[in-house]
Amino acid sequence: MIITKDLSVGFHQTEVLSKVDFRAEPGQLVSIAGPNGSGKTTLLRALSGEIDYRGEIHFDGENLADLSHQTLAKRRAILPQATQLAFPFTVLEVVQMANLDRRSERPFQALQRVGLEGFESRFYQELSGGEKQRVQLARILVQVWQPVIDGKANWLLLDEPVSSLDIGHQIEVMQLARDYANAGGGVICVMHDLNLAAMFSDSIALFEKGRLLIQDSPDAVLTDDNLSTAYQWPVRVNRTPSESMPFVLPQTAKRD
Amino acid sequence: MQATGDRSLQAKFTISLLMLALCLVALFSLTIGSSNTSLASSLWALMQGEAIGIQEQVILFDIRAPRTVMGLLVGASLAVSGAIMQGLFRNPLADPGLIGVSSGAGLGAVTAIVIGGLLPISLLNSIGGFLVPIAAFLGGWGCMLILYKIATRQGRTSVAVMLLAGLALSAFAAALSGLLIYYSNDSQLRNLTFWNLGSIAGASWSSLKVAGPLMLISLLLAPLLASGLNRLALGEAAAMHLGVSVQRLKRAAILLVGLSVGVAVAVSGAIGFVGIIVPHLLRLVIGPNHRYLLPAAALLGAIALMLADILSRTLIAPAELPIGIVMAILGGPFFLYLLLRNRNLLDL
Repeated sequence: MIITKDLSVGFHQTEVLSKVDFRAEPGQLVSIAGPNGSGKTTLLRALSGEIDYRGEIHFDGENLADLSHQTLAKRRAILPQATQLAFPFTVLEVVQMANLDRRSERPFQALQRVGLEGFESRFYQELSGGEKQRVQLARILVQVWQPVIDGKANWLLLDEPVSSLDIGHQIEVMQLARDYANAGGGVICVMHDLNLAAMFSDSIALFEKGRLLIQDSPDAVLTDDNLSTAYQWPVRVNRTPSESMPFVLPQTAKRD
Repeated sequence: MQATGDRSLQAKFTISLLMLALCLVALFSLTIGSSNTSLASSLWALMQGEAIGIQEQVILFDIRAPRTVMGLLVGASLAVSGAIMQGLFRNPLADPGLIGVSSGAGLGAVTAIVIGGLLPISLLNSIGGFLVPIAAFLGGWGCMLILYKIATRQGRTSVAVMLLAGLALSAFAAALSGLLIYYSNDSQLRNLTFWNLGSIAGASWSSLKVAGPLMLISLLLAPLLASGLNRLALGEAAAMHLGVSVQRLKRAAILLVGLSVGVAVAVSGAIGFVGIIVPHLLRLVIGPNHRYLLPAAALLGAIALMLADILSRTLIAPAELPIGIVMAILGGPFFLYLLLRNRNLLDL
């Protein structure tokens, strides 16, 4: 379980996150939503142990600050929004970098999992944005391949995993994250697309200006009031006729 | 092997070839020079267990052998340091000079040549001919430590700050050198010019005894950085997520390069191009994986420097060209050729 208490993060006297109590449980997919600059990525960076913070972050009962880079690397993997690679590595070599267990078949399995079998010898830098994103997803899957080890959950922390993907691949990647959670692992996912968040999440944490507005089930979070407050724009939540799934539409601008 | 994107077999094959080439070039370097005695046959006789003349013995063991070993170690150190710096700065054009070693060493050498004579005679006698290399090493190491201090805040070293501060510090060191050069006399000026052109002609067992182990140790430690440097190619944050202690990696890389380049520059003067051209060429052949790139760079760097040294002592024999000139005359156009031929890879 990942829990934060009174978590605050500031850069140069600007408070980017203030007093956040957030929680994510193994076996669940938790989405982090909110407008640009509301602190979503900062929360993910704090959870990954990358930046200094005030307050507490508990990682499976242990204080996050007490865990070494090496220990954390075996327990959680982070998908960044974009990765600039410095040298012409092949796709296989990129995925191989995360193969901490040195199991030779893993990189191939992971590439297959994200639908990129046959891409092994391609140069990473020659790929499209969506393909690069899926290579990075394969890389972090290799890092924490098993959702559960010795009864302890591993974690995927994903920062906008579907932002550069087409609809088909969006669903594929979200399903992959969902499967990881269903197998007992934990998934925390920064999402811009509220409809995908509604479709795949067990819980949504909605942020506004560095504060956690509400964290609850998609049904409870996705209301006209909550979303209009967070996004400062009139938003209407509707339901699909067949499965009664919430879907979100902003009120269109007047064009007259 | 290319079909799966795994270039390790290719790399291992290349490294084996380079090892073979290294042995051949080293033999070549032992037997070729301005002396007209037939050293190849002497070497052959020696391997048969026969005795050889005293003159051949002296040339082979006291002149050629230390020079060959020095060339090998300096070439390997410069090329490996180049590869490490490029990995650290995540830029194929980075050069060991970026951490201030070269300019600091230059300032140290100039200082020793121009005002070294002011030191007490007893001190001068005890360090003998090593005044310039010692001063060059201290200058290079000092400049690098200052730069590291400037670029490190709250336990984090910013490579961007290091790059920019390095430019400023290099310019400042060059200005101080210029000031000293302005006050130097003609013979000092001549010494300075030749130091700047680079040479390993002065290599002896006594200089090798000090410099050799230092360069060898850094070469042997370099492979420990390989997996960290690979992951650093993904960016500092991603490397950290993969368990790399990025700050420790940076510190180790800077100290290691400072040590090996500091020593190499001290004993051989300014020899350019090896640090950029060798890793660049190898990346085209075996890819950027540092596990293979670092050992391959050591081998090819050693080969390149020994070849340049052979040319420098045979082209205008019995006189010698400074090796720095040979390296730059061959290296410059070759580097351009590589760049133009592989333009598409650079745009990746």
